[in-house]
Amino acid sequence: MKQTLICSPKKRKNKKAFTIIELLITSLIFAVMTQLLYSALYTSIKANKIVNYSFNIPRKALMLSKLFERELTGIYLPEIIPIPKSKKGKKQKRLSKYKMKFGLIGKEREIHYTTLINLDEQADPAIGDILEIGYEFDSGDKTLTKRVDPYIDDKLDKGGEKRDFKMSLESLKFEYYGKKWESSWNSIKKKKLPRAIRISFELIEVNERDQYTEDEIKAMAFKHQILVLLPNAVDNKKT
Amino acid sequence: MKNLNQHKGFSLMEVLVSLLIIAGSIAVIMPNISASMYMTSKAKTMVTAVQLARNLINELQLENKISATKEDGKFEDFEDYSYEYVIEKVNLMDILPKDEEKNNSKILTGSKSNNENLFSVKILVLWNIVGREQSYETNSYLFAQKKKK
Repeated sequence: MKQTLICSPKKRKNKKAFTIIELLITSLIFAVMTQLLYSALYTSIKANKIVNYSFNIPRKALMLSKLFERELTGIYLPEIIPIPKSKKGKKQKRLSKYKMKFGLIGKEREIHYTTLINLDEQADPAIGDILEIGYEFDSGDKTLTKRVDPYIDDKLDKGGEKRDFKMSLESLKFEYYGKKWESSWNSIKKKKLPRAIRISFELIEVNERDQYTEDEIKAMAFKHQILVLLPNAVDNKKT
Repeated sequence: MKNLNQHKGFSLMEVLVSLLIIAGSIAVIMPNISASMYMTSKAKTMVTAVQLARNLINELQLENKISATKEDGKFEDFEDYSYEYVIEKVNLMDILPKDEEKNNSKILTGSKSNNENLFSVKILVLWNIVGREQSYETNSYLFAQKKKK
């Protein structure tokens, strides 16, 4: 009786085992399913990346453009908001003694100006109302640095603390409008502010830059442009 | 053979049916993924389009081009986007709510000269995503600057 348990031909069919046909069919089904699932999974992973990217990039672009827009509307020039005169014009004298310079000095990749608004998370509340602010873009390192100088001196484009901006910018360009678009502006020489500033930039978010070619990076960049009207843009003075 | 059929396991038919269900659900999900991709790219381009429309309004104001005209063209640095705008002269009286005519006339007496320079600006930004045409429309009211004599 004990022997029949193992090798009785009658009971052999009860043994659990796969036939070759069953295996073949399973593997066929498995192959088809993998193919279907893989393509679906691959597309969804790719879609997720693109969706994530397309969601983040415009948000960052808007953040940066709002920052520029709001800080530039607070631009300070004594002609726009006159410095209050004390008796006998003492303050005026003092100002000329220290050679304070207000206004805006701008080039293609940098801009420096005196402003009443500083939108900065790390802004020191002890710093006074009027500041020197500068933005510089290094096209080699692709970094944007912000400079905040609480002291207004005769050098508008120097001094103060520098801080790197964690923005992955590909390019940044400033243009200035007086009567036509110009690539640089010096309000100290011209004795007036530009009426508008156009800022064009390209944002990009690539973790591993080496994996992509230059053309691919260019195609992925999010191009944005803002036109900021300065307080003197609409000239209502009657002449 | 009887014993074999009693064994627990999937039959070929069961597997085929389940495969069909999986294939069906994938077929349902896939268009949704592509739809969501389309919506994101639409949202992304919409950000640009809105900004371009705003820039155009600022530019009209800056270059003092505000007069009753109709124009269309392409944006200088954004070749995929084109614009159309219509500027029409409007009467301030027509815009203000009509049930407060007494108050309105008070407002108007102080700004008669301004009323002559009020224009409505309609801007339409057009672009394409995978062959489908998209558009963004915005309205604004602008005062034309007086030209210096």
